[in-house]
Amino acid sequence: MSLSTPSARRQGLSDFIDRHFKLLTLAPALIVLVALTLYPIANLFVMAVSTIRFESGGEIWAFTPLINFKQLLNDQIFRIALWNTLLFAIASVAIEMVLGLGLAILVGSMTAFKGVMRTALIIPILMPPVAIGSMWKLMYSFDFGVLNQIVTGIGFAPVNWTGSPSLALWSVVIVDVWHWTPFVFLILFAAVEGLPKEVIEAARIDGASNRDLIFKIIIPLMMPAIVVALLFRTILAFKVFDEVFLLTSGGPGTSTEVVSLHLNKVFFQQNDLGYGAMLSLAIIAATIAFLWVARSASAALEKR
Amino acid sequence: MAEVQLRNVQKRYGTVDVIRGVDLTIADGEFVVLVGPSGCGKSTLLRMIAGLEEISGGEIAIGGRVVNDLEPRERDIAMVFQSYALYPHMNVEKNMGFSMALRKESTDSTRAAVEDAATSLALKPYLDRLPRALSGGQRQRVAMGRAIVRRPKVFLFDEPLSNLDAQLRVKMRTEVRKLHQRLEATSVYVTHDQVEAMTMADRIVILDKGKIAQVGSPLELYDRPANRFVAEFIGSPAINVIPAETDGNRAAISSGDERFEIRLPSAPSEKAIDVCIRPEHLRRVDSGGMPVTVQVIENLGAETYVFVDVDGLDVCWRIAGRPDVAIGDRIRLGFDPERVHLFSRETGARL
Repeated sequence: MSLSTPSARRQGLSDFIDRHFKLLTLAPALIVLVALTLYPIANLFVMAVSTIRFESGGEIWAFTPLINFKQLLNDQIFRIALWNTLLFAIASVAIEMVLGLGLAILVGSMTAFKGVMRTALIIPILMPPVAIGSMWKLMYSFDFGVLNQIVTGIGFAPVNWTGSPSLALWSVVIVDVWHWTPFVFLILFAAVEGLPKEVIEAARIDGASNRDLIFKIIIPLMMPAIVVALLFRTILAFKVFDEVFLLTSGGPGTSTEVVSLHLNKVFFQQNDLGYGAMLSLAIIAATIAFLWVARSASAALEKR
Repeated sequence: MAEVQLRNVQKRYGTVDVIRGVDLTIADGEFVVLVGPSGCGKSTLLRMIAGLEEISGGEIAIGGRVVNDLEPRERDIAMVFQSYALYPHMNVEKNMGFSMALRKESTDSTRAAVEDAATSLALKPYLDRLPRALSGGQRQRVAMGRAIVRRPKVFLFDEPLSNLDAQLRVKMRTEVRKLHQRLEATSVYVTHDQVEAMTMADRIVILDKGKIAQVGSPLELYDRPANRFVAEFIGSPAINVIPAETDGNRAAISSGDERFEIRLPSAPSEKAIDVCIRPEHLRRVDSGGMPVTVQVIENLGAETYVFVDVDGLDVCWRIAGRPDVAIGDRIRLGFDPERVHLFSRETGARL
């Protein structure tokens, strides 16, 4: 039988498919990934070094490698926004981690109502952000909000929750804590439920008080879950938009201006695409830098 | 070191009685094994002594002090778990020294105590390792070392050897006994394995459905079981139970078509009884005894178990060395009436 018979050629084709089957099955996912992630990111880098103008129904790109970067260095509002974002992220994530961990350990030690507690605590995550923003805006209202009714009810002067420059950012932090503590709780509660029971019993027999148990056994054993929750929350906190936008829109003045709000203004209100792209890259860089610092700090702490 | 007293101890989960009134005094320095089938309450009882389970009724005292309302850490005990329950994030040294670190003892004395225990358990080269980098046998020894460093009044063991392979289990059995002889610490050891109970215990406590079936030294239980449950539980292969009808001091057993009688040392008060005889107490006879058919032969080298059929009942005959019978042989087996244990068929009590 010669090599050129149809059956041999068919065999050649099936051989080819056999050998490259991995690539063929990966292809759809790869195409989607390139189209939806890699291409936009590459495009972002190109935009960041360009000046883009809209003229007579089209866009005109000009390669201006340093203009956007210089603008970034001189952008006062960005500096304020970055500082506010950092404050917001550190405060809200710290409070959420402590509360979430405390709740997870508390609910984990409950013998009844575990399911009820878990369900009740999920509700804030299920609510649409717009509803959360409106609800808290009503509660924070200076004239008729429920918070000020309570404050005046116990004999204090009404508080300007979202209108006072020194308080506005913290009011947003409170909403964020209310919104996201359950997320931290859920991740850590799963970890609490998975703790090895006999290890904790062994520690109790070894002489550990409840305090020893929590700090010397439970938290170290939960470290992987704590790191995951911390990572998720930090990244999301750096990207905060909806809560600030709905409650204060960055005001009063620039006291609650955060980076994503600033980015939104540059990109969609000022239509400055090139500088917007540069800002996006700066935010990504800032988030990575913050996570890296946090990781190094925790590694140093662990060594000690 | 201390005496442990259980007075009418009870445990209920809702309406289910798990421990139904246990009275037991464990002497200072004694090694007591709690043994019984799964679900008999032995682990629950141990966990009640440890303080990991609440006591529903009765009293537990350690060293003369009632501990019912004390936390586990206030009871001055150490426990070795079946899963070893080592602290996964601490190395061997920290695992063993944890109790001393919690008591805020100096690092020098902690290190000395840990090194001492590690030397006796051959763990010295592994002090820096995390538990996950150790073999099962090494983890087991770390768990023991942790208990030793604790210097407790009472050692509690909850099936500590069950996760080891058979060879290591036999070796560790001896190790635990040696450890006890050296430390002379009061020890309560839970197992479902009657061989472990027989080989390790000063006294065995057999539990059945939350009650003590019998307490005694291993040989007392073997030679004079108080009831059929104990007779069947202790001994491997298990004791042979042959139902019989009595008439005075004679008991009638039917085997196939044949009906034969055995003479009893005394006349039991009940008609329906169980005649129990240990496999090693059967012997081949030329006349009299029970006519049987050889069904299965298990050669263990040093000894042989021959399973024969008596009236549809499997009976085990244990002989030293090699058998001189073959499968299908019709032979007669007899026994010394003095060796027989008689139990009421209805209550299982010894007659």
